[in-house]
Amino acid sequence: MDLWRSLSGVVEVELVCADPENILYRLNSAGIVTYKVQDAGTLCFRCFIKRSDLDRSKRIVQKYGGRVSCVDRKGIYWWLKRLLRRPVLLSGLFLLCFLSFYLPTKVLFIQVEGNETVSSAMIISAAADHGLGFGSSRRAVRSEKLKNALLGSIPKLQWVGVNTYGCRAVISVREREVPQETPQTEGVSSIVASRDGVIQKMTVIKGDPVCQVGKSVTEGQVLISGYTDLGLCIRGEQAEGEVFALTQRSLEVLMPSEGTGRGDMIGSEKKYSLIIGKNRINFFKGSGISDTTCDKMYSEYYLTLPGGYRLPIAIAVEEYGRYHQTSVSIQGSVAQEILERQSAAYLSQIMVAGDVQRRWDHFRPVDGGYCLIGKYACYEMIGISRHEESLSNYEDDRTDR
Amino acid sequence: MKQYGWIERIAGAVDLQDEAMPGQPIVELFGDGRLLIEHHRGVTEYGRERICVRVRYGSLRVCGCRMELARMTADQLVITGRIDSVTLDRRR
Repeated sequence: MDLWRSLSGVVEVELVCADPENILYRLNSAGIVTYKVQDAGTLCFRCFIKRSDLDRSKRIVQKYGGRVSCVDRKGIYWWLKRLLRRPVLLSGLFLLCFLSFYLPTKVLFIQVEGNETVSSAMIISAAADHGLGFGSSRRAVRSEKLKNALLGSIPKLQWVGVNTYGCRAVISVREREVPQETPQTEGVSSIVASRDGVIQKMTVIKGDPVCQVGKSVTEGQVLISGYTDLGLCIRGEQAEGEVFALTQRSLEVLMPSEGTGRGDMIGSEKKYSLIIGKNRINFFKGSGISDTTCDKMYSEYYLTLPGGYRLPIAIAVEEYGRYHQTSVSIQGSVAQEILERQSAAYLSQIMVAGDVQRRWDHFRPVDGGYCLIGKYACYEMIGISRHEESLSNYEDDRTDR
Repeated sequence: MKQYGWIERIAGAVDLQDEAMPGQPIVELFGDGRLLIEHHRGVTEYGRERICVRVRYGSLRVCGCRMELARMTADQLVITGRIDSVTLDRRR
């Protein structure tokens, strides 16, 4: 069946009459073209004719005492006619065709690759501010323009490239390398005392030690000098070493004797929001927590397609739990234990290295709380590096005068 | 002896006997699977093995197997299938 016949539509008819051969000739003589004539039994033929010839052929055959019945309808014409009777399917097909042409012109998914320290959310947010977001046109995406905009927005980025593949936009970034802080290798430095103490142990790797074990030193005093007198000249270098000393520290720690705590749960409440891109639609009135008697759990559930592509549409759920507020009074023994533990933790945190050798704690209740006054004998590292002014600069200054 | 009409006599006089004259049946066989008959006068017998077509000079008998009338108009007739023989039974 050729295309034109298929478009105009053909019908398969059955001719039943006393002289079917003659009927065929009469039909042809009347200008009706028959196709694929088949012998379908005694005095019966089957053939295809054009849709428009059906009524005429019926009249001709009836004239000769025969009968024509339509057996089947074939061709694009009938297929389209059947399709028109199904509006839902037809509208679905139209929608599919429309989306097939329309969707590839839009950006629906954005991926970020190559980032390590800069978060993807920050890059996507910056890209959305400069025109690359959910639903933006692919034609409007200009890689060079967006690159300049993103580099201006996020200084940590060194290079940005944007490529689009169908509905997906891929932002490839390279982050700026942060130069590593290298220890200063030039100049002269000495090891000085960070606080007062009595030297217990001294390890010198470089430099000239200017104090001994057992001597007391004050804060800022040079322990290992970066200058070494060699007789004919003075050598300047960066002193290295460790100096441990016995030091004394004092602390005063306070805490209240009464506080408020969370009691039994009264009830919970869920509040829902719809997030579309950067916009949020709340399905409730008011927001926030008014007091300390309730807590809040926040969850976002994004619409994700198979394959891991996440759409910027999410349901946000805020669950509020309300509790009884109770007042809690703290016993003295408990408070003392807490304060001692807190002071020990604080001391170990502020010391570079070392530990507490002895401690004298005085715990007493004060008005509305408890107080711990403590004195601590510590064995700790007190040597810190300090940059020294070089001798050449010193001589230059003298020459200027 | 065949009595020619005036058209045939004129065609013979101008040496055009080999050309097709108006109304004369033309039978063209394409390979062994397709037969075109022009200027026919209807089908007298139709079957899968034998089809008889009336033409001006008598009946054209086409024998073969799995034959069918692929297309039939007032002037032309196309037979497809395996064609074994085409015979003209001249009208007496």
